[in-house]
Amino acid sequence: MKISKKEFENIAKLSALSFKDDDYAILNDLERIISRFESLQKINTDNIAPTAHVTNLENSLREDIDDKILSHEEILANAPQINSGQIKIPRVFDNE
Amino acid sequence: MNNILNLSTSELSTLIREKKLTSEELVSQTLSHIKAHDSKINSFITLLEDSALNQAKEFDKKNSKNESANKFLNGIPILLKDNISTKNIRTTAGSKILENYIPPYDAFVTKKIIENGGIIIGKGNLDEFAMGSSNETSFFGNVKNPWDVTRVPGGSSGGPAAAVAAGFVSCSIGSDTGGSIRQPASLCGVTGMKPTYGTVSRYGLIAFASSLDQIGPFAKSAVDCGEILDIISGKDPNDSTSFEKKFTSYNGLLNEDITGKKIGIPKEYLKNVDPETVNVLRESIKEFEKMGAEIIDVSLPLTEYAMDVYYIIAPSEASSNLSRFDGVKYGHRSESDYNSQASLIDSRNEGFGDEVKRRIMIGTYTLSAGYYDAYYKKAQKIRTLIIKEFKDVFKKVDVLLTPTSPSIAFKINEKTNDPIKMYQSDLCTIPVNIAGLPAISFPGGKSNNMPVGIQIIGPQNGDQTVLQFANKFQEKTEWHKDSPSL
Repeated sequence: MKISKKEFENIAKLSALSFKDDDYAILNDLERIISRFESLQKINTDNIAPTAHVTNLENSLREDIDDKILSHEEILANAPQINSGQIKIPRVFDNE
Repeated sequence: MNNILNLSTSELSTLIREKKLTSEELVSQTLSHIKAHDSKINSFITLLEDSALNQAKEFDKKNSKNESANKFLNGIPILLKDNISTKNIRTTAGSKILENYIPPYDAFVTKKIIENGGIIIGKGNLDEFAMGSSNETSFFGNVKNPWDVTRVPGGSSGGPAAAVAAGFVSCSIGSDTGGSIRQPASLCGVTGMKPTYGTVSRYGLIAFASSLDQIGPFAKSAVDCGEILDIISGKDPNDSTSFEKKFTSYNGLLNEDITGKKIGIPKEYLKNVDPETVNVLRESIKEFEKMGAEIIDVSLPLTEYAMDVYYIIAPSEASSNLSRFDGVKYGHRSESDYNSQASLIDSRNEGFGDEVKRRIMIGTYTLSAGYYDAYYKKAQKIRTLIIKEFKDVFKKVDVLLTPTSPSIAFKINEKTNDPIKMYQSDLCTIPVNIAGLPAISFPGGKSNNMPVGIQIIGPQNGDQTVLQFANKFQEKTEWHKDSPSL
């Protein structure tokens, strides 16, 4: 199973990852692993439903009750950067 | 090793209840033992020295005034795998991306253990995000096998397994997505159980593959695993896949004998397994025969496809679950100051290790447009067939008996360059997760002076039966009492 460089880069982009040019060992791994999956095509799965849930649980519902779980401070405690009680995020727009 | 630290959780629980042992003494000895030897093993990411001692003293005070309710884990130190959230205690999932993450809430299982009187003594090392079979992908360094420090402890719950083997704790909690409790239990010579999917709430467990992940115990015996399951199981509104307890006690069948019960030996589980491991299995079959069980050869032909089905489903779910790590609200954020998209990619690139990236890439590929039907949907259909194959075999037998791991603990670095070889370490454990079944691994013998685990697999909700068979074996044999000298 060959994966082109272009396709590999697209998967990396969708994964929000990037790889250096000399880091393509992972491309070889990916090709080897995905090649193995071809054997699954041998199994006849006509009219077989895909598994949605392994123990066949039906809808599991609860009352929709308003419940405060975490305080503002607790949420901010793990933020990489804060500013005036808000999470500071990286710049969204370029050229400013 | 000190005598107390060789005891099982049940034995410690009795001593504490009868006031023959204080929790403070147990915790102090535990801490000195860890401090003397964990530098060789590296099973702890975080050691909670002060809080554990304080909790022990507090418990002893209450206990001396007879003010404490009678609970199994009262005053007993326990280790949690570091992908289980602990309020105000750093929880890393073995990853750089969560190196400084401090959960603002407890996992369901954490809460249950604290309510039962357990003392959380630390957080156990693991493969990064529980992705690995050797504990070599942890950002915090690999764990070494207490039986031979040149060998791996298995993974991904390598820390919790090694810590029980080394006598650091009598019990610990792990998670099992494709064998991550049972395989390290096998390689470290301890007992570890993955219950039926849905038995233990996953609330607060840092998700890897949600349809496969299940929390379970490590201990020195099947009985103790059952006791711990009684504590941590049950319906949790925060995990809609969890269910109400099915039994009053997981150990409810321990006193019933297994004469006339049928044990299936699936021939596919003996392929690609070392001859020494097969020998241990054969010896264990003889033990079960002596107890009056009937041994039946069975076949599960889809077993050979289980690994590939798993390596589609698990990475697919992982690629989705791990998309939350973006360095915005919590976790590692790159110092690079570009814009938000570049920062997101840099944060993930810097924060994730190679194996995690590999699996995110596989999962993104198998879920991507044009491949979804050929891979993910196909795998989920074969999953349906695998579930049916197990259902059919359990019409003929009560349990299945197999090796847990194809080999004894392998050498450090032996498989790190070949991901497929590494993935094959879980050949005998993966099918169980695919079908949501309960299974236990326990020491069945030795090979080359290293422990060899054997696995009992039961039908869904056959957890009591699985424990019953493992306990019968442990009543007749001494392998589970063996421990390494550090």
